Order: sequence, then C-alpha cells, then structure tokens
Amino acid sequence: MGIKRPTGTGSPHLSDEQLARFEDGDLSARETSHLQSCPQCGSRLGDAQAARAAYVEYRDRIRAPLLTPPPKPWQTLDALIARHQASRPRGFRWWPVPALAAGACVLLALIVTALVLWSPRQTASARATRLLTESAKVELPQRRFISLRVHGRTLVRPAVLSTEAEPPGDSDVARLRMVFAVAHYSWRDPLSARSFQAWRSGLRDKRDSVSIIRVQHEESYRVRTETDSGVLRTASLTLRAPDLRPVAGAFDFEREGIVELAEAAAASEHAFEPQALSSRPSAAAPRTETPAGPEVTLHVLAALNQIGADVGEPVDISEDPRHRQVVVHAAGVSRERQQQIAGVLKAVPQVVLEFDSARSPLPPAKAAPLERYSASIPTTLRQQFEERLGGPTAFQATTDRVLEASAADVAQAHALEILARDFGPRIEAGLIAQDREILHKLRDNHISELERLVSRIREDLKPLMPGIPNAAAAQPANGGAIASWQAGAPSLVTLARKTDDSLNRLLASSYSQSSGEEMLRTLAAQIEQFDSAIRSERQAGR
Amino acid sequence: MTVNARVEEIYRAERDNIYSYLLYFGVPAGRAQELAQDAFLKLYLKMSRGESVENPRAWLYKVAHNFALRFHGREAVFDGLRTGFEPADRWPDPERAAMEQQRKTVLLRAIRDLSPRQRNCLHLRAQGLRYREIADAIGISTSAATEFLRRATVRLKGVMDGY
Repeated sequence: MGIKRPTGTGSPHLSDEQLARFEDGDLSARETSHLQSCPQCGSRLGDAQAARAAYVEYRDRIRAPLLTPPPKPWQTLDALIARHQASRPRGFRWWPVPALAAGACVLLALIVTALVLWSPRQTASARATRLLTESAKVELPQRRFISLRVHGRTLVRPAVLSTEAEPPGDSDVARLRMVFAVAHYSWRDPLSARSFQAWRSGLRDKRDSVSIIRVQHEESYRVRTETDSGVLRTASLTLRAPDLRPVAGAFDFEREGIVELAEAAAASEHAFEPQALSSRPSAAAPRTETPAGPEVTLHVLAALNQIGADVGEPVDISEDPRHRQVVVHAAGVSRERQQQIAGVLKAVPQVVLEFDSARSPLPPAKAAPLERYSASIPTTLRQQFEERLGGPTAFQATTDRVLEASAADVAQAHALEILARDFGPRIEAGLIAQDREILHKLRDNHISELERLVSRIREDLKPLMPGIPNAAAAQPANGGAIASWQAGAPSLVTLARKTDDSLNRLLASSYSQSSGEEMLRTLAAQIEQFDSAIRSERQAGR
Repeated sequence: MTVNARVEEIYRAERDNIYSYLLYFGVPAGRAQELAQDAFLKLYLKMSRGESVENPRAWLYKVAHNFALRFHGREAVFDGLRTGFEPADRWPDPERAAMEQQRKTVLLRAIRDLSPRQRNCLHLRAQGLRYREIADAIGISTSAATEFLRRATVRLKGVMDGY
C-alpha cells in the first residue's frame, strides 16, 4: 500500500490509519521510513502516544482509586471449571444428585432466559405458561416453610399442609382458608407453580405479564395474572431465576386485600404440622403498607426526569422480589448527584436508594479546542463538505454537534422504549388519571427531545444534503397508523441506531468518494424515515 | 503449556482488568466480578475445544463488552460518570501539591469532555489492544476506532498542552 495524502495538505504524509498500523507494528518498511524522516507525521505519532500516556495517568491515578474492589475473593480457575462441569450431563449412572440438580438448574436457567429474553414475539401468556410449567418440575425441599402476611399479621406454616385442616381457634387462618377455597386456589400448597397454574388455567378471562426483577445482583421472574372473574383478582408468583423455585407470591382478593407469601425459615420442628402454625405481630411494616405498583416506578421516573437523570446515566430501577419497594441503584455517581437524586426521590414513598461510591463534583470544563487533523474522508468529498459548511473549522464543529446529537437521540429512544415496555397499554389503562398524565408527560418529553435532536441534525447537515426537506414537510410513517405509542417505541430505537451508524460512518470513517455520495443519499432517506416515525409516535400518543 | 495452565496465567494477570472494565460500564461490583469470572471460563472452554484465540486479552474485552451491554437494559455508557475526585496525593511541598492538583483537575476535565466512545477506545488502547481489536471488541469498524482515537488525541493534546 502506498502512502496516502491526508486531506487538506499537499504533501505526502501518512494517513491516520497508517499511523495506527505503525503503532501496531503492521506498517511496511517504506511507510516506516517516511515516518522516520517526516517531522509532521512524527509529531502526530507523538501526540497519540502523549494522549495515551495522559489517559493512563487518569486511569491509574484518578479513576482506579475510585473503583470498588472485588467484593469476594476470586475463585480459582479450577473451581470455575469444576462448577461448570458439575452442571453438565456426562452419563446418567455417574451423576451424583447435587450435580444433577446443578445441571438442571443451569439448563433450566438457559431455557428460561431464552424464553423470556430472546423470544420477544412470544406472548406474555405463553411465556407465563412455559415458566410455570418448568417451575412445576422443580423439586422442592420437603421441610419448607412459608410466611403469610395479611392484615398486618405474619403467619408461618409449612409450605405444604398434610391436610386442609387449620389450627383450631385462629380466625384469620380459617378465613384465609375459606377465601382461597372460594377462589379455587390451593390452600394446601399455595406457594407453588402447580397451584398457580391450576388456578390460572381455570380462568375464562385472564391477562398475564412476565417481568424480570433484579435486586442486588439476583434475578427472578414474576408471573402476574389478572382476571375480572372470581374473588382472586390478581395473583403473582416470583420464581428465582437460577432454578425457577417459587420464592414469593402476592394474592389480591376482592374485599379481602392482599395476602403475601414468601419462603421462610422454619419456626420450629413443631411448626411442620399445621396444628403448630405460629403467628407473630408484624413489626416489619405498618398495616397500611401496599405493594409497590407501576405507579411508584412512574413517580420515580418522573422525579429523575426533573433533574435529567432518567436518560444516559448509570441509574437502574427495579422492584424488590416482594414488590414492596422500588430500588433505585446508581453506580458511581458523584456525591452531589447522589444528593440531587435523593432530593427528588424524597417525596416518593416505597423507594430504596443504593449508591456505589461518593465523589465530589468538578467545576464545568472549559471547551475543548477544535481538531486540527482531517478525518479519512475522501479529499474531494471533504473539500465539498468544508466549502458548504464554511471551512474546515466549521466542518469539525458540525461533525461534533451532529455526532453528539445522534448519540443523545439513541439514548432518548431507549428511554422511550423502556417507558413503553414498563407501561404497556393495559398498565397505562389501569393508572389513575393523574398518573396517566405523568406518564404522558414523560413520553411527550422524550418525543419532543427526539424531534429537537433530529431537527438539529437535519439543520446541521442541510448544506451537505440540499435535497432533504424541512422537518415540517416530513409526514408520519404509514399515515401515523400505529396501534399504540408503546408499539411504535422499539422501531424508534432501531431507526435511531441506524441513523447513528450512518452518521458515524459518514463523518468518522474511511470510504471511497462514490460510496460517500451514496451514504449521503441513504442518510437523507434515513433521517426522513426517522423523523416520520417520531411524528407517528406523537400522533399515536394523542 | 496446557490450556488450563495458559488460561490460569491469563486469569491471574487480567481478571482485575476485566472486572474494572465492567465497572467502567456501571455494572455493580458483585455482578461485575461474576461476569469477569464467566468471561475467563468461556475462554477456557473455547480454548479447550481446540478453537484458536489469536489474542485472548482482546477476546476477553470483547466478551466483557457484550456482557456489559446485556447487563444494561439500555445503552451502556463507558465511564459515563459525572466524575469528581478527592485529591489523594499529599505532597510535602505545597507548591508541588498545588501543581499536581491543577494537573489532575485539568486532566480529569479533559477526559470527561471526551465522548463515551472516545473514552472507551482510549481505555482499550491504553490496555494494549490493537486498533482492529478495539474495533472488534466494541463492535465498530477499524476506521471508526481510528477516528475516535484520533479525535480523542487531538482533544487531549489541546487541553493538556502546558500541563
């Protein structure tokens, strides 16, 4: 390969890619000899090495001391391999029981992950059925206990009763047993996938949802079924992700309130029999406590939105396995930001905050200087870009603005997609008017921001793409016919990503003159398509 | 050297780096450690099947990158913190301490001003990955990786000149 002329100069210098290859030791002898005799290329190489040294200094002296050390001792490689091998089938006759169980768990987890995460087209109902069916196969310990929480009392009993009898004299238990019986839900074995499935399959009308809950690095699946018939209106079962063992449940009975179940430690040897069913007053929570519903998540999002922390920041929102609280986890934000987040969430009940580390903020950074070097865009096209945009400096400034706007567009589209996923049409319909208004405001904020960013990209690139119409001329895609705003959100993410890829290719990659011209045409069409989709999304939300 | 011994050697040398890489993406520490261990197990399994891995370190970063993307339900941002720092160095000479502090402040501002992708490329470059390995690890073209690094270089040079 010969020596390329970097754009904007008349002398033969190494291109950026050739310099990169030199650093990697892949440059030819001829190109290397040029580098040795050219001060300009040598200086560029020195800059790259200095930048790397500066980053190393940042990494080692500033950033590394702030990183959380590994919380546990590292497992040895042999231990990792042994654990993996214990989870793999080798031959039935040689399997010890624990290995069989571990293997089954891993396989099950893989199957479930595939079912839940990788089959987006599968309906929630089918996913719920699969999860419950797989969970019903899980062998549970015989001596297992559960706690029942109702009306401020917590009762502990064996998970499976040997009879349907209840201890004499406990009116709460007697009432619970009757309520479960009326609902056609097994009182004998309530915290089981089999019982849940038996109740669910007997419903004439039902609405299922499956959600993944992540709390403190532990994942679980929550299957939730709602119905308009019978006294049990909503029930959910939480299945631990690694092995699908049912660990919690919530049952919302008409006129009875919510009964919460969870696995519990054994109260005593005697508690194994139903006659020894024990009770204790609940000290954990007041009588009025209710599970954290989607509205709590909505209020959290709305609060974070006030300070711009709902988009592009390392903040995760999840429910705890018992759905009593919404957990807001922020990984390594500054101390000032922590205070801001805590401040806006103070007014939201049932929220737990988890912060990783604390730091102090820095004053605003001064503007970085514009770049001197040209990218690897073909010379003719680059000159054309520079002429149309007002010179090399203006071209670089435009490139910076456009790429930043595009990255922000992808983040906004993602935020909208998450909102659509967490607040589907059914959940939206179940919100009170005030909360629906909050949801719509959040949605509209994201859409407005998408519009603004696309408009900025369009305006910035207009001199390069004179054929592209104004934003106002863009028509909604498919005449705006989207079933719901939730249905349209995923395609916005796809279009945002496609546009971002194209912009990165056009403004930050190498290509030929002809493919650059083709990219410009494609990009104009993509921006049009993206803009139309945003308009459709807005219409669908009206 | 057996596969086991080779991977063991890499595991000891690189596990903290892969763990840190996951932390940079905002993966919580406990999960980051599990994922880092999983990455090395994957490497062992791949190599023990006889599959060649040209540069195991680069391959591990690619796996870790994919883990980070999967961990987040949304776009994973590299080192996307509103970073501040408490000055840790204590120099006996106050003038020296002030200069060091100023340099650190400027450096931090400069790094913070880079885009997440520029920081990501620079981090991997500082970890010793080649340009095409960086591109492969984060799923972009080699020329795009080169361009991100070039822009980062120019920005850093502009800010750091004089410090």
